[in-house]
Amino acid sequence: MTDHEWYELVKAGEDAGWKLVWEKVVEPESKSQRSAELMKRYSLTAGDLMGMLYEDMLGRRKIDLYRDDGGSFQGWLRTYVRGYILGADPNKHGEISIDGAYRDGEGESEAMNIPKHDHEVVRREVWQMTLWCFRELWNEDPERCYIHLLKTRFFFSSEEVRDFLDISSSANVDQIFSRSIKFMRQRYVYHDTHPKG
Amino acid sequence: MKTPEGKTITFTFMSQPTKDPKGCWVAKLTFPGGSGEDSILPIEIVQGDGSPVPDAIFEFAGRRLAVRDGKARISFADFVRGKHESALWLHRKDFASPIPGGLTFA
Repeated sequence: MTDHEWYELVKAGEDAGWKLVWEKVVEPESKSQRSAELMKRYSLTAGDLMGMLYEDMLGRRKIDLYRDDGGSFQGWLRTYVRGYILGADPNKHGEISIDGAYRDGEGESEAMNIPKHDHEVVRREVWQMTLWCFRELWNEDPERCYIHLLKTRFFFSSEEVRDFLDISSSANVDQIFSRSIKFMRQRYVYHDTHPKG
Repeated sequence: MKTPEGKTITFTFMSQPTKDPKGCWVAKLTFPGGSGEDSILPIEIVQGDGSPVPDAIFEFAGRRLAVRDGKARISFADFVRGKHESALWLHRKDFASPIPGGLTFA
């Protein structure tokens, strides 16, 4: 089974995929000398780790952060499991914090590499923000949106836009288009520096 | 007002997300190549499951257009006259309130 096939099974919550997670990731890690010692100290079982991994991957959709571009799926999952072990703080009465894993000081460098961002996720966020700004542009004046689309999506010349929307001159089209770009940029910067919530 | 010969333009409008997926709608306004002031432009409107929106009113470009079996029409001249109107709503008989939307890059 390829990493891609394995990833798809895990993502779909299929037993066959999660059985491999147990066999290739959780159980071997829990039996490694260093992890076994920490787990014993923090009263963690391999079953606990499996539960946390399942909750994170499917419950919190961390599985979507895996790029599936040829990197080791096993290694990626193992990084999470090590993070759970290293981040287990007995002073928190059993609460586990993956974020604290690399502040623990006991970890190895791999624990530092827990993926928190993914290019695909960032790209999606940028696109959603662009759509949001475009909606605001619509509320300002729909004509600006039409010009924006005609120029950037349909590759109309300024003369063609002028004729299409019955605008007085192509210079006027250019001016409106230029203001639209400026507006979008300003709104983007505003939303980027004033995030909601 | 005219569309260049050989260039068909389609503007896609999409509703804001709704709690009931069936309330979502997508409207496509098509300008066939060579359209002019007197051209009547077709608008196709589908709902969340992809089926045509039954009887409704499409508020667009400052006009209230009748929708029958997912189809509405507007003249090129009316579109240009209403190009500054941002109100964009689909009024459905089977929904209590109209559902707003906007132009998309699609």
